[in-house]
Amino acid sequence: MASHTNPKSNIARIHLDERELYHSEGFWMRGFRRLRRDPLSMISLSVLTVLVVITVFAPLINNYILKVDPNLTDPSIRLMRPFSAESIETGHLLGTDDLGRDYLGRLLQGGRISLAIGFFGAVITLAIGVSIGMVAGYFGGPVDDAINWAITTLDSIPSLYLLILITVILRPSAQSLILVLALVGWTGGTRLMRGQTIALRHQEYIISAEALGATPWRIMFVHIFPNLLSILTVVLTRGIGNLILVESVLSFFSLGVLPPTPTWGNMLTNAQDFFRTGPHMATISGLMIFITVLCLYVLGDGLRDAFDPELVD
Amino acid sequence: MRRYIIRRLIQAIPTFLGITILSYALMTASGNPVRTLSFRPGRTPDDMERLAARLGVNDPWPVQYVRWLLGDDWMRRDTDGDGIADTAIIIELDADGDGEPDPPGTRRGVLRGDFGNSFVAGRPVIDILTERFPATLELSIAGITLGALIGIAIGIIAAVTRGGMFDNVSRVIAVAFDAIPSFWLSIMLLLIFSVQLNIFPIGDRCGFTLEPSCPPIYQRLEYMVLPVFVFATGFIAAYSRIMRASMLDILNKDYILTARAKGLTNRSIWFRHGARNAMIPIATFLGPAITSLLAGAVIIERIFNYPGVGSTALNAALQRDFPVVMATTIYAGLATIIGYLISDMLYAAIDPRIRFE
Repeated sequence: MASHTNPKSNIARIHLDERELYHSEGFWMRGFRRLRRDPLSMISLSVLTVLVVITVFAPLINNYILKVDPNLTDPSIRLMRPFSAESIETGHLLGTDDLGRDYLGRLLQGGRISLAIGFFGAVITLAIGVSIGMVAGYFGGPVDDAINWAITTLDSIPSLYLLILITVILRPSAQSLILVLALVGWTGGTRLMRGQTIALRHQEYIISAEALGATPWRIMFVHIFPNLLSILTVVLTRGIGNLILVESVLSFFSLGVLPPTPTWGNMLTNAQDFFRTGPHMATISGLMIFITVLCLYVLGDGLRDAFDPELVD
Repeated sequence: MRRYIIRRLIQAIPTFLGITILSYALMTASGNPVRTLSFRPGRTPDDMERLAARLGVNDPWPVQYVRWLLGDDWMRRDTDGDGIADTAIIIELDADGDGEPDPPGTRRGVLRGDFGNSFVAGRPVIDILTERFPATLELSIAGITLGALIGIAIGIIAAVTRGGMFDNVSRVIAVAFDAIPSFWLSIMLLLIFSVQLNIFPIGDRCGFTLEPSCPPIYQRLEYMVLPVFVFATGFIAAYSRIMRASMLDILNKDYILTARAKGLTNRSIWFRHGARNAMIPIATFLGPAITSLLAGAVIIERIFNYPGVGSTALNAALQRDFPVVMATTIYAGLATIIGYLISDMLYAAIDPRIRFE
């Protein structure tokens, strides 16, 4: 450096360098530090945390705090407007639906199911994606060709058409809908994981592990899998959002979860019939889907940037 | 280039067969409807069983699949024209076991466009599909054109004003358009513009069947505004994102610097040198665009009562009208294959390296 630098600051620099040397920041720590600096991601994360907490504890909240039964119909209080004088008086803060059921209670209960389907669906989708993708990418050859053919075929039917066909035949419950979503949606994750595995497959550390006699399974799970984790978190976040959207579409068209079990999607099913009398029915649960998916997408983008190894800060 | 096209066409065949096998398997999983469908008053269970056997319920499933795919008019034929079948391959001449030869096969098979009759409408499925196709085309051409124009324009402006207000706002909008459930967006637009403000009509394009009385397109533009806009949102999001990234990439190229050094105006640099080259990656997104052009948008067509292929698929599904569901699924698959074929070929035409991979 130039000779006119203050010697004091030079000493400070050396100290700093030593600290970095001994406490070097790991890949994950650096990622999360970057994520913390991104205000949009942090807002999304906070909103999502609140949503998860209130929907996971929805039965308790409905029972002990709101004191409502989300499945109890009451024709005398149909289509009560949210925050109107009578709704506050009777304790139905967000009003009631066309059958007189408490809207807030149903919203919490429905969110619980929508989020659960999104989350578990995405986890299963990715579990399939990672295992098949790693096998295809690692072994290559005919295995890879067969898997590729399956992926191309499945991807050639627009997923909504395929889902319509399957849900019509199987008439799934909330639990089996998760499986159906995973069986239709595994191709995207598999494609990605396969590509990543192929990229890692010829790295020197994999070749040396092979030279030491590691079995293919050990290489896949001990040496390749940890390197897929950061991409997995990104894909998982976006995948949850995507599945929440898909579930809501299917349930909206009475092909997914059927009433009386509420989901954010099927709460909108009859909304068009009550445009004039109960517009809150068309508005609120859709807004919840929108906010949730938006937060998940923004968080997914934030995670992608935070874990991007090519970005230097 | 010709060899590339031929190779891609050959590659599409196993994919298409895969689609037919998958949909056939799913269909059979729901149980064979022949037995229930052959019920008519006055028919004994024995008659129904014979009829079902004649139609092939007892055949092994590969035979049933081939029959469904290629038809049975060549399997059990009447060569001398007396109305009684006399030759049969693959299937038996007397499948129902009553000692008499069965009537000749009449089905032409899915590959020749014979999807059978709709359970609900009682008409050939292929007629229903061809009737509904123009509505889908009308909606999707308008939607994709609007989406591409707006998306590409936003992408260019965002790239040249990088980091500015417009750039940030447009990126937020792109994420929002991705995350918004399109059925909810449709409902909200109807609620605001049709119910509250009364600007656009709610309801049918021209009733649910395409009557000959349906007025020409310029007389019912007001019915198209909302569905076309919702259709376009996805394309606006995708095109603006692709175009922005590609344009930023191009603007860093040396020849842009050269153009600047020559003293060209910004407009000339952005549009003549930048945007024209930045359009190339748009070709990758052409596949999905062609697919939705042909297969339509299930959600939008349904909510806005647009009698296109997508809403036909959904209505058939809700009514459990399996022949129509099968036909729309295979049709959508075909649309996807065609979309990617065209997009790949365009890409190979633009970038010659692809042909030799």
